[in-house]
Amino acid sequence: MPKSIIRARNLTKKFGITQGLVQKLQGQPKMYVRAVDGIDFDVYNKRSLALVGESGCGKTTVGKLIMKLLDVTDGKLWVKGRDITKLTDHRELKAYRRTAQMIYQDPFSSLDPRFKVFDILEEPLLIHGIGDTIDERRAMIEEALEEVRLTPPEEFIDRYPHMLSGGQRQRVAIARCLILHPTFIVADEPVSMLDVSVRAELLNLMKDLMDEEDLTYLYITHDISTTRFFTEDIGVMYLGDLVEKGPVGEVLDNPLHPYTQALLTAVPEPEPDRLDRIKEIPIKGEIPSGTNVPKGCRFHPRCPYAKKICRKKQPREKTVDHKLHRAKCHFAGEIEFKMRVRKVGKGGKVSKVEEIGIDELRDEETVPDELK
Amino acid sequence: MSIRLEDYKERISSIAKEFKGERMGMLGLGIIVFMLILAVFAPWIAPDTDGRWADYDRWADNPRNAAPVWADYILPGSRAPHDIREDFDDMPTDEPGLKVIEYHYHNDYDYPPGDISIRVHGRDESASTVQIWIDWIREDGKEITLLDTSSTVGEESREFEERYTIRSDAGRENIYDWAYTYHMEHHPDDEDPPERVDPSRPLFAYTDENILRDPQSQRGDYVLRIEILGEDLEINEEASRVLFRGQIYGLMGTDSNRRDLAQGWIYGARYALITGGIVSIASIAIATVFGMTSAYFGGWVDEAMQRINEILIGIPMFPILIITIYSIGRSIWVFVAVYTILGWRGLAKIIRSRGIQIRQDTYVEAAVSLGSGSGRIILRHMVPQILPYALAEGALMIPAIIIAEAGLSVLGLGDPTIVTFGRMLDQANRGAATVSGYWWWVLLPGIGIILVGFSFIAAGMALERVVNPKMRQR
Amino acid sequence: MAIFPDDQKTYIHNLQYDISITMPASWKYFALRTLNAVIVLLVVVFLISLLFSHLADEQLEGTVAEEVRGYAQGLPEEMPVEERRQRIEEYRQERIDHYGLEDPFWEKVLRRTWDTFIFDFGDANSMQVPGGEGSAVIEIIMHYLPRTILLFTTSAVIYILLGIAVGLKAAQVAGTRLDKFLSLFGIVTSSMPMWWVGMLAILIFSFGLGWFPASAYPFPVGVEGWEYYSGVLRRMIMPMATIVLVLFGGRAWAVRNMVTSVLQDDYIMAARAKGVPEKKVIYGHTLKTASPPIVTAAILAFLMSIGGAMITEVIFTWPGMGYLLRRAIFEAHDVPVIMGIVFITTFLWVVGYLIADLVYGYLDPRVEVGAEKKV
Repeated sequence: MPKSIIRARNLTKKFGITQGLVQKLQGQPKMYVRAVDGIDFDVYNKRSLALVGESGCGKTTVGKLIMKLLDVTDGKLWVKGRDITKLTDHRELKAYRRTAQMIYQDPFSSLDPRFKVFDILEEPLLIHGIGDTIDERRAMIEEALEEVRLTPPEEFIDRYPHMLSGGQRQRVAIARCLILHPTFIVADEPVSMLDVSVRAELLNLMKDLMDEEDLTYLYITHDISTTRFFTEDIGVMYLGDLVEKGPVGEVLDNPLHPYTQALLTAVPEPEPDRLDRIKEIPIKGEIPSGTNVPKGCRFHPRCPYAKKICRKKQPREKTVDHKLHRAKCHFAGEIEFKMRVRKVGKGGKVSKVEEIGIDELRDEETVPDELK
Repeated sequence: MSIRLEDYKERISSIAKEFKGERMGMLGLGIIVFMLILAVFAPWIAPDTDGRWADYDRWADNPRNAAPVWADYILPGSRAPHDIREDFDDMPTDEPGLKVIEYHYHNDYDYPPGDISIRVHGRDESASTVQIWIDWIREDGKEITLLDTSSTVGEESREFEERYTIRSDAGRENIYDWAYTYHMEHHPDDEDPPERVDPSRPLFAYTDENILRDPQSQRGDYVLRIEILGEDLEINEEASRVLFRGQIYGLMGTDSNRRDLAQGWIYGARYALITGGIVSIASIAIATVFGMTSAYFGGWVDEAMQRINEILIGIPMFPILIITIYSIGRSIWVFVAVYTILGWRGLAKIIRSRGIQIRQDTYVEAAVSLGSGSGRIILRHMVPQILPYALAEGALMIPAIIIAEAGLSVLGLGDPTIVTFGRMLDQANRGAATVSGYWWWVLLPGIGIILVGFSFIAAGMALERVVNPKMRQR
Repeated sequence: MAIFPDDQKTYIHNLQYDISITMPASWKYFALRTLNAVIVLLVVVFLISLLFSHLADEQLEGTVAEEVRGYAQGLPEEMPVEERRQRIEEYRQERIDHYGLEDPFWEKVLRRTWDTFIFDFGDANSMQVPGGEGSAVIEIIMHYLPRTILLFTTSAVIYILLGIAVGLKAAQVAGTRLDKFLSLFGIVTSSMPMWWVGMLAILIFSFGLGWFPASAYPFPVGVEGWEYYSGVLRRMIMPMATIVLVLFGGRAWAVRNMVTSVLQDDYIMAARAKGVPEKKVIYGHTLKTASPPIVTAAILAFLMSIGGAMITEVIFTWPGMGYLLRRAIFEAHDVPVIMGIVFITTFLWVVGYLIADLVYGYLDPRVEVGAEKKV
């Protein structure tokens, strides 16, 4: 088993809702949103972890907790054997930030629009006092640009972000991380804002960098289809909780939790010739508000397989075949997943609805071509 | 860590590019630049004005209540311009010790000169007094003796000087006596003839029935003759002169104390820019620091700062200005200080809410995750973003500042040592300019206030549109 | 140490909105706002007392000296010099104690603060109650205040109504030449000093056309009924027209902007798409949404203009508070009167501000103490 570089135990983050003075005076109890609700996970060295889930499920919060952009409310979080919840000294924090970096979702807002590429990449060097002369720093910046395949670097170094394409901007953002030679990168939906055409290219680049630079990623995404290709491990989050986790192949091929299964069916139809089918996720309703987490299993109001126990008791982690593959479902491994498929006839008319077992369907699923 | 000019350069140039497209904004900017030039070069354009505004000797040579020269183009009738005569015609005489000098005046105006002031200066080595006659010879050949007096020659200096104006008691008496005879010709039964017309008007008027009631200007050549009888007489040509005081004067006319309003106006612009500029820049600075601190740190710091700001916003500006200026002193600097102390509060609120938006921009968070400290983030990422915005809001403050200063002047709380638009208007109000019809005295300083105000509003609003993406959508 | 505190606003924005919208504006909101107003008032009164303490003391010393002189003249002539001196000295001390002139500085400031706060301004230094007895500052002010209120409230009602009407019209024709002209008119008039416009009005309508008296003073006396009211009206028209003219353009402009921004809201678009008549869209839907800020801003704008309106009184010699203030500053140098006027102006401002706030809280249930306006 490889060494774990991040270990989270009972990791909890609550956001207090700002109350008006009146509410305080009226003695209303302070309300919280549990963005992350006591989760455990490990990220092993050179085994990147993907966190998947719908927006608002708390996956980005986990990333920010690791980056110390938010303070942990409860629980423990070790990074390379060190409890970073106790990291308060300004200098230590700065040193820590050098080893862990973050790539943001929106390359249009994550780069200061008034900075040239040179300034953007120079800033981390200046902050951490790397490179004594401007020439030295310039060399490093050029090297970083080359690493992210923005070549020749001279062509990009004096440009402003608005003169770059989305993909190029995201490469600059990656270069900004790499220039500090971190060991760990939180990539928060790094491709979701980009054109589909450049997504694969960028993910490939990130994958290559993982080997070249000895990197480990925490890859946050709502697009479960990219995880198989990109990471080794996966965790599925629902409403602040990690409902299923394990090696990516295990989880995707053999989902234990109905929510994971639902996410898998939400993958867009990859085969153009099968546009005659509309798949329906058999879960109902919308994601509930974080202030009001359902009792028992938090997924039960939406779960098509929910039984009485699901409303009463919170499920614990269970394993079925693989010991690292765990799911928080009372019936893990016992459900036969079904999904409804509607056949669409000519002129977009829905002709027929039939239920298909998940295994049957998966045989038809393929990894998108461009990721191969 | 330091602020680098480059952080601001791109922002400035992109703002400048968009600003050029704002027509009103460019107009406002143009006016501001024009006013700035006036303000900077005021001591050269209008020398000897600042500090001597209340010194009436400084303005003694000007006409009183004269309209601006351009009034002739927009109002019916023609007005005599201001005419200073330094040279005279020395007439030959046979009599020893007698000097006769003449000034010729061609009246071609519906409104002849409002006043004639004469100063004769000379030497006489032997006589102890000299006799002086001043005569007015009209177009129609009629003559008036304006003055018949003797002047003492100084024992040491051997010099004499006679100053005379037709508005003096002697002048009035002589002119009215002369006009009275013509008046009586037409109104033999009038026992109580009017004497209220300007003494200069009968001088240039037809000797008809209206000479004391509504004198009508008679065009033609007039001669002012001064005869001086001494013993060994010499007239100092340089120190002697005659002023035909005009009905129109300068670009903006004069007030009832003969002050040149154009010169005052230039200083009015200067002090308006100084007070407005200092107050708004200081307010911007305080508001930026306050608003950014509040926005950046959030939490209880923000809560406490907002609470303080709310109390400040509840304090009315006007009464506080009155009490502080009345009790501390009528100084423009007290005004500047007090207005600044209360002026930043609203601005701070705006900057705070803008700051909260910027703080949530991802690149600020990205900078945190790179390890930036608070100072670096505020100075390098947030302030360059907020500053143009603060400048726009600061420019929008300026009209209110200038109007407040002017208003306090009218209440009697203006700084008596300087010239401001407000003080000029206060003097106009006390000098009954409104009920006497001295429109230029009221209109022009007010236009000064509006011009400064309008230019900053136009520029500020244009800048706001450029820098505030939310407003651009409209 | 996290840079970002726990109230991550974007994250819970929607929730917060839901909570505050269901929160009714409670009496506690009103109580808190009132408390805030009282604090403001106390701060200002304290400032007034602190700044005027020295001047007020000087004037009181003058008063004491005068009283002592009067007392000395009232003493019988045949009194021995020694006794006379002693009696005078005793009397002087008695007066000094009466006014508390030798009390510690802070005690004097605090006493004055409290006295002013409860509207006890004492006696004027040299001014008298016009047509009345004595020189109590509060009585002097009460003599002038009603005329100020008459002028101000009439003008306020007219300009607010006119501003809303014209603003709505401009919003309906947004983008046209008329709309642009109204915007320009609003900008130009709001950068004009109100009292200067008054001076121009006198020039044109009194000097030039002779329609109205240039000075509102003296007020009609000795006449009653119709003659009195028409006399007052004749004097009031110009100052009132001035106030209205200067203020309504800016108000119309603000109303126009608020209405047009509401007109862009989705539900208005929806209403229009559904074919709701344009009149009903503007007067029904839009005005309902836009009215809280319109009302509040109108009250605030009027409060802001109090200074200008008081100076306008000076220009028209309208015998109100502004006129009294100018006389107290310029002619009488009467510190107690100035203190009184400043306090009453502040009081009116703070009360007006409070009303604006409460009106807003009443009309718009979303408002919350301490938090910025949501959405």
